[in-house]
Amino acid sequence: MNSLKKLIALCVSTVFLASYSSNVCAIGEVEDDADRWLIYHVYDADSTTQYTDRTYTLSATTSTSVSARSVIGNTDSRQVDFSKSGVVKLIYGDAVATGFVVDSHVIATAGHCARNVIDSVLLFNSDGTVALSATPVERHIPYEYLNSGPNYEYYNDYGLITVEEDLTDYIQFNLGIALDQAITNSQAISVTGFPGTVQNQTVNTPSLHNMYTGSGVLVDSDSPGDCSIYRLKYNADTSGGNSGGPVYVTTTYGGNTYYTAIAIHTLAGNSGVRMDRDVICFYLNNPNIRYS
Amino acid sequence: MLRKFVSIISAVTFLMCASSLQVSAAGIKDLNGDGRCVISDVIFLNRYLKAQVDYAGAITDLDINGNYIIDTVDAQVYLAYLSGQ
Repeated sequence: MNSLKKLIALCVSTVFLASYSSNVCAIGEVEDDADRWLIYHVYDADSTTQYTDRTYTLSATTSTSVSARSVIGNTDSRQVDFSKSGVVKLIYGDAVATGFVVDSHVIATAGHCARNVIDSVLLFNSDGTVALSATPVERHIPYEYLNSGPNYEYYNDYGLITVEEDLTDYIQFNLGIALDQAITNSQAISVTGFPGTVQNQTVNTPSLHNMYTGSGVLVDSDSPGDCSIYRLKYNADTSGGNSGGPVYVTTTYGGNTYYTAIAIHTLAGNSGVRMDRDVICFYLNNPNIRYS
Repeated sequence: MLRKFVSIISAVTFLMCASSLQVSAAGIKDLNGDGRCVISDVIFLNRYLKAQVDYAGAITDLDINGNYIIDTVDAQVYLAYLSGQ
C-alpha cells in the first residue's frame, strides 16, 4: 500500500513539474542574447564627424528567441501609396533610401543608409507633395556594422537618424516582435518606401518622389542570412531605395488601424533586420539620443 | 493518511485548474506578477514594448490576441478585455 502511495505521489509530482515546465519553456522563450554587439557610434548628420566621446553600449536585459524554415511564393503588388506619412525619404548625393518615424524625433532606417551623410530628410502629404524637409541632427550606427564584423550585413544593418523637428503629426510606426509562428503562418506584411525603379521605370531620384507599398507574406528560409533570430524574409517586391523602410503588419482593432514594424528592409532578395528587444531598446529606450 | 494525500492532491489539482482558467480566459495573463489581471498589466505590456521592463515568462504570454506578433494591439486587446468589451 505504501509503495502504491509513493508511486502515485511520484506520478503527481512528475505531471505537475512537467506542466509547470511546459508553461515557462514555450517557443519564443526569453533568453540572453550574447551574439549581437551592442556598441553604437554617433555621427553628425551633416558631416562624417564622429562624436568619439558619445560611443555607447546599449542592450535590453533580455532578448527574444526565434528560428528558421522553408520558402513559400512570390508576389508583386507595389502601388503608389502616399498614405503612410511616417515613411521618410532619405537623400544622399544621387542616392535615395527610406526610413520611418518611430518616435517624435527619431527615424529608423538601415545601417547602410544611416552611415551616409544625409542631404535631405523628406516627409510627404497624402497627395505626394513634400510636407516637411526635416533637419537631421545625428546618425547612430552599430559598431559591428561599421567595422564589417561577422554577418554585419545581416544582423546589424540598422541605424537611426534624429531630426530637429517634432514628427508627432506623422504616422508613428509601432515596433513589434514577430514570433516564429508568424513565419510558419505566412503572416501578411507590407513594405513601404521609395524604390528607385518599379517595372524598369525610374520612379525615384533626389527630385522625383514616389512612395510605393508592396504586399506579401513572411516566408521561411534555411539561410540564416534570410531568416534567423536576427532576420526576416518576405516576398513583397522591393528594389534599391527601399532600404531602411518598414516591413510591417497592419491591424485594425476597435476602429483604429495600427502599423507595427517587425523588420527593417535591408537586402535585395527581400529580407531585413528583425525587430527584437535590443533593436527596440535602441530606438525607443535610448538615453543617448539627441535631436537639438 | 490516505485522506490527507487525497486532500493534498485535490488542492493541487484545484490550484492548477484555477491557474489555467486565469491563463486561458481570452489569452489574458498576469504579466507583472502581482497575481491579478488588471490595468497595471496593460501598462506593463506597453512598457515592455518600449524595452523599459523585462518579462521573465514565455514571450508567447504577451501575444494576447494570438496573431504571433507582440505589439501595441495586444495591449489594446488586454485593455478591452478588462473593460468588458
